[in-house]
Formats: sequence, C-alpha cells, structure tokens
Amino acid sequence: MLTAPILQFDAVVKTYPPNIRALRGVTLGIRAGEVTALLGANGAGKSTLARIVTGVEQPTSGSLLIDGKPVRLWRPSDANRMGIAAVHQELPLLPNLTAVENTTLGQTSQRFFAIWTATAARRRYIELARGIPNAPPPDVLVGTLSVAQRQKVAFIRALSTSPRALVVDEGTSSLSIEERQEMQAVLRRLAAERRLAVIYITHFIADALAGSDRIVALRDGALMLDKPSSQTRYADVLEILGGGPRNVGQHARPEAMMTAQPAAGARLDVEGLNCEGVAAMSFSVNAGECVGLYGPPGCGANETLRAIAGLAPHQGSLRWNGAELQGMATPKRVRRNVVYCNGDRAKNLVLQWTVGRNIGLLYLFRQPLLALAARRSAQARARAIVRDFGVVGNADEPIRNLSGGNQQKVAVARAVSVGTPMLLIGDDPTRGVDIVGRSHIHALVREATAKGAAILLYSTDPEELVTLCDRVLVLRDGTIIQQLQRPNVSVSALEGEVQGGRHARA
Amino acid sequence: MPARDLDIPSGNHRIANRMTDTTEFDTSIATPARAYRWVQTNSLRIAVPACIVVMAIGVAFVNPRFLSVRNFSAILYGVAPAGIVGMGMALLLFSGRFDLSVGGIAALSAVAGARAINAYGLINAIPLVLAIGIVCGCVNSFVIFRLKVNSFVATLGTGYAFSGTAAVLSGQSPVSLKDLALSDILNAAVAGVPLVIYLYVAIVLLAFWYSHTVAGRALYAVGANEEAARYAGVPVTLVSVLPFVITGAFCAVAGLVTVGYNAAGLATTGSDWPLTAIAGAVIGGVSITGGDGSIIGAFIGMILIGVVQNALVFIDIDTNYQTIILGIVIILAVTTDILARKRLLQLGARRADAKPPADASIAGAPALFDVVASRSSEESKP
Repeated sequence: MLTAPILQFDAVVKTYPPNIRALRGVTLGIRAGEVTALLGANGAGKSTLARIVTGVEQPTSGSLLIDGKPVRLWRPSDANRMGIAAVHQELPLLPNLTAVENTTLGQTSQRFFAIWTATAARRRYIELARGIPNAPPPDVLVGTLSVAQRQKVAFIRALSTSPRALVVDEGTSSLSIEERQEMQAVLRRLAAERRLAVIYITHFIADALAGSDRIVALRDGALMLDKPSSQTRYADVLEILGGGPRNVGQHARPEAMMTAQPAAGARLDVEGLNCEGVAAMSFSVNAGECVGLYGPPGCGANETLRAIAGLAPHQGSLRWNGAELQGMATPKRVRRNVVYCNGDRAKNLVLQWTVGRNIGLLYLFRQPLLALAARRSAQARARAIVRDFGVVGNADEPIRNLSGGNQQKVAVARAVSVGTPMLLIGDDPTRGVDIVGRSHIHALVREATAKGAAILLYSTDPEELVTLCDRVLVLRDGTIIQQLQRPNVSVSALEGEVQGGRHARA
Repeated sequence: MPARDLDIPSGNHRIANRMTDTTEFDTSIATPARAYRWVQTNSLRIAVPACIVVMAIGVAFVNPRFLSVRNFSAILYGVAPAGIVGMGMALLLFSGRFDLSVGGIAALSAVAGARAINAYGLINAIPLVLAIGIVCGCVNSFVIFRLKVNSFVATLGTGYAFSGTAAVLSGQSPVSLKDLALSDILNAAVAGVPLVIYLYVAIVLLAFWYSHTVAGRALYAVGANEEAARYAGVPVTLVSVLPFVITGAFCAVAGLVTVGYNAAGLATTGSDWPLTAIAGAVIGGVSITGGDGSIIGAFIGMILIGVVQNALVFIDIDTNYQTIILGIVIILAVTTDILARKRLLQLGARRADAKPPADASIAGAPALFDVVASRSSEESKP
C-alpha cells in the first residue's frame, strides 16, 4: 500500500509562548487506506499534532500538505472542508436527540432556510451504518445508548461529511477491550473500503499494535518511531513512551507488601447486594487488599460500586468495619472513609476550583454543619497532600490547569489520605490517563494498600487489574461468574473468562 | 523543597524520585505582580461598581449633600427590606438556585404580620411571622427537592400562591396598624442612625457568618458541581434546603420592616424584590450560574443599586428614567461578569502554558478540540 500520502507534515514546529516547544519539527506522511496509530505520553505532542490537522491550531513554522499542496487550516471548518473529520474523545453528542439528528447537527452543507429533510438524513444514516457492525438504529435517543453505541453514532457523524481523513482521539478509551477490538476492526474496514486515512490516537500500546497498519510515536515533540505495525515490538514503543518496562503491567507487587498483615476488622462484607443491574452479589474486601472487578459494559460493576458508595438505591447487607452501611447516606459513608472515585474528572472534581479547595471539599463535612469552615488547616493539609503525593502543580492554582493525570492523582490522593481504615472505591480511576500518570496513580494505590486500605477497583484496562489486584472478580449480567486469585490473574485469563463465558452461554 | 522520603514500595523509587523532582519549581508570585494580576483578572468585574462610584463622586460635586451621613442613612433605609431578602437570595445563588417567591413570602408576612400585631401584639406577632416565613421556605423546598421541580419554576408558582394568600388575608384594603410601636422602634435613632439599619447590618453579618460555615462553603460546591459535591460526602439536599428556609425567614423580617415603614401590611409588598435582590447580588459579582460570589459583594451590589437610585434623584432625573438606567446597569454588570470569567479562564490557560517545559509538557497538552469543548460547556450551563 505504498500510495502517496494524502496528509503530510513538513517540519512542523509548534511553540507556545513563552518558549515551550510542543512540536520540534515533525515530518510525517499519512496515507489513505491505512490506520496510523499515534502514540505518545501526555505532552509528547500528539494532541497538538491532532489539533493542527483539525484546524484548531496553526503550526508556528513548517507546513501541512494535503495531496502535496501546502494548506493553512485556520479553523475546524477549514479542516472539514478539506475532508478531515474528527471523533472527539469526550463524545459531544446531545442525549435528547436521536442518532440521526445527532449526525446531521451543525452541518452547513444544508442551506440555511431549506427545510430539513428527515428522510434524506435517515437514508444517509442507514447507508453509513451498514459499514459499522451493530450500529444503533437511526431513531433511538442517544441518551439511552451505551458508550460503545454512542461511539458508533459519533463515527457515523464524522463519516457523514464524506471525509478523506479521520482523526480518532482516544475514541476508544471508555470502551471495554472487546468493544475496542470491534472498533479497531471498523476503523480498518473504513480505511480499506473508503480509502480513508485514519489517525488513531490512543494510550494503549497493545491496541495500537493490533489495530493499526502503521505506528507513529512521539516523545517531547519529536518523531521517534514511524514503522509498519507488523515490524514493531511492544517493548520498543514502551521505551519511547518513557514509561520504561518496569512501570507497566508486568511487574508484580513487591514482596514486602504481599506479607503486610491486614488490620483486624476493617473489611467490607457485601452480602446479597441487589440494585439496578446487579443480582444477589456477595463478596468481601479485606484491609490491605485490592480487589478488582472486571467485565463487559453492563456487567453491573459500576452499579455495584455506586451502591457501595451510597450513590444508588440498593438492598442487601453491606458491612464495613463492623457497621452496616445499608440505609446510610453517602455523606455518612464518606465520614466512615468509604470514598468513591470516578474516572470522569469533570464529575469527580470541581474543575474551576483550586487544587486545595478540591482537596478540602472531601474533609469539609468532618466538621459540624454550622461550624466555621477551617481554612488554614485545610490549606496546610492540601499543600501536604500535593507535596507528599508528587502532584505536578500547586495547591493554590485552578485544578483545570493540571494535566488529566494529575487531576486524577489529586482525586485519588485526597481519598487515600482520609486515614485508616479506609475503603477506596475506584470506578475506572485512570480512564483516559496516559501511561506515566497511570503508573503514578498505581503507585499511590499500592502505597494505600500497603498501609492497610481496602480497595475495590473496577477498570476497563485488564492490565491495570493485573498490576494492582490480589483478586479479580469477573462479572457478567450483574453476577460474579469467576474469581481469580493472584498469581492466576493475568490479562489473558481475564479476557478468557469474559470471552469463554460468552461462548458457554451462546 | 527537600526531597521527601516517600513511603512507596522499593520497586518504584524511580517514580518517587520523579514525582518529587517535578514539583521543584517556584510558582510563588511577588506581591506587585500579584496585585497587577488581580487588577488584570478583576478589572472587568469591578468595572460596573467602579462606574457607579465615579458617578457618585460626580453627583457629590454637583450636590455635596449627597455624601452626608444622613443621605447614606437614607439610602440604606430605602434598600433595607429588599437588601435583607437579597442576603438570602445570595446564599441561594451560590448554590445555583433562585427564589422568585420572596416577594410573595414578604407580602404574606406583611399582611399576616399586620393582622397579628393588631390581634396579639407585637411581641407575639414576631415569632408567628418568622414561622410563616420558615414554613413558606419549607414549602418551596418540598416542591423543589421532593417533587423535583426546577427552583425557578417552583418558586414562580409558590410566589403566586403566597401573594394570592396575602391578598385574600388583606381583603380590599391594606391592614393598618392600630399601634405604631413597630414603626417607632424601626425608626428610633441610635447614634443618629435608625434602628432598622442596624437590623439590616445584623442580617448581613448573619448571612456572612453562614456563608463561612461548613454548610455555607458547601453551597459553593453544590452550585459549581453537584455531582462532585455528592462524591465528596456533601449532604447535598440538606445543604440546598437550608438557604430556602433562611430566605423564607429573611423575607418575613423584610415583610415586617415594610409593615413598620407603611404602618400597614400591604398585599402588594415586594412585588419587584425577586429581581432587585438578584440584580444586587449580580452587580456585586455573584454568579447567576452558581458556585461563585460573596455575601459582602451582594451587600455592596445592593447598596450600589440604592446609590444609583438616590443619585438620580439628586440630579433631578425622572423616576421612570431611573428604572431604565437601573435596567441598563444590571445588563452591563452581567455582561462584564461573563467577560471577566472568560478572561479569567484565558489567563489561567496562559499561566498553565507559561510553566517550565518539564511541567508544561504535561499541563500544556489539553485534549483535541478543547477550545470548542470548553466553549460549548460554558454555553450549556443553565
């Protein structure tokens, strides 16, 4: 497939004032009919590259060529006109509109006063949906769809402009491993059938290797790797990403921690938990133990976690540290150090507040309702947490200035510093966090476990569970179908359970 | 900052070291630079108040009596009833909610208060009227938090119901006081200032104290991000209900004050208070979308409204024009506030970019299309 590239970067430099060089002269060609995976840690420049292609930003020097001709993309609509479409990771779809309506939103191809023709839009939708397996029907409300289904609507929306190049930014980070594989297959098929040039930006090295034709990796704004996927090894990419082999996946927990004695009594016993999507679930988490939940979307893991945190109605017994949580509202549970941490940072944190205020919020209701809120001690504690947990940033600056990984680190750090005994409920806490931020958060969780915290962790990334968990409960349809104990926890075992179970059922 | 020995397992010293290394840069800002930054970030926000102050100085040159203690006491006297209500409204605005029924509660309190004073005497009437205000606040809370009706619509409805009840209670004519003790007390001068102004200031201090309690701080969290507040263990419903009850009580106080002013309870009391109270808070920098603002700001905003009205009287402008000018001032205040917020965001982003590369390499890489995303998220706020 050695056609001439349709998209070319020629010595592209992007400098942010005063003198931060996000891209230091990247020369790169993207070919039609290929999926090009773009890898790099946060700040390596892959987002900048994507923003230049989609017209959100302009290069400081160097040029972008389409079909060999230099172009200037001043705004996203310029990029659209040149046939470049993007699927954004946060999926800006409107939940109160149908799938078709979402795909036609904001398209200027229609004349302003022309009557919107539902039939034409529907026909177009159905035609495009044919190329995507299990695409949602056109008239379903987007709000009722799963994340994976929404993703497909977003793809159809991007395709409806008949683009020549498609930029997919971490489009798959909120999906399960199966759904990601399905999505990669779709991307490959689109690339091959429609001669699309696909730029696939991801944090998952394995995904990039499996789901692309070519791998491009950036570090510190420079191109470090540009090879066919078939000739690239996992370890090569890993080294470029700066994680280093030891930080990722494979390493077992240090021996010292394995022998740490759990504090007596501080354990969670779940018995016969019933809530929406969960049926008679029973399990326990000991102090100093990290228990993982794994399963496809809809398996009931999120519902279980939200029920334990008191965020959703539920029946059954939840004993934590000798007390029954059932019937206790979230604030009371939080005061008993049962802290829920969501992977969605916009839900977890007040992004317009400072780091310190966000940390203080978790401690606010440890004081009486009508007491004057302690400010100085809260500030001191926030500074200490920022310092001790190595958050890159300052306690006094808005948390939105921090990188996603650091924001999430603040959320986890403030949770694990509430004291012992503590139960941390992690609902995919490293979602969308790059490999370096991820390893920092893993270190945090490990430290907390060593100090006797009980941790219940759901993750869409099986590698994360392998790294952190002593035990993993595999869920499907709201029940536990298998329990894996270290050292039997491995990525292949987890995926085998999920897939094997499916075959057995089918 | 000395490298701390982190309690992290031996296999991860590399991470530990890196974590401490990256925090070692100086983010402290020198004081003049900080003052400059404050002006830079807040210049728009203080623009409208500054204009009003400049206008007041201008008026003072034309008519020096404008700056007299007596005149300022008159301004506070005029503003007091709506201002008392405004303190409750500010607390509600912090949590991202409104109460449009404040006028109705005040009217009901005024009419019922006047009748109660005539029937049972002032001493017995005061707790009764406070109870009415609190019950009204509870009714609002019930509709909003139990029936899950948006606060705007809910209080629009209850407001009609309350003022209707006031009209029924009052009949055709205002309920005149037989005994003018209440008027005498409110107008009694202490150190040359009427007692009602002390009452107003006391309410402001009460609201100020409340906004700094745990329950008050939590209002900002609820207003800025209810979901995050819930995760962090904030009893969201309790915290949100309390300001409705407090506002109800404040409305009762304000209603009684008007009874004292008029020597009668009028069913038309406070018909324009909901908007005056919100306007005062907004001019004082309280965000209408919740999560931001201060009691002192709302207090100053309310006084500025009084100053505008008063100053226009001093330079002989027709009352009808006053209303037009007040409307324009409110729109300007909201517009500059929105601009100021945008500016703050931009400055924040620029500041994140302007960090040493080690850090900026992480902080300076927002997601693709984040410009578009942040813009749309701002617009989608109710």
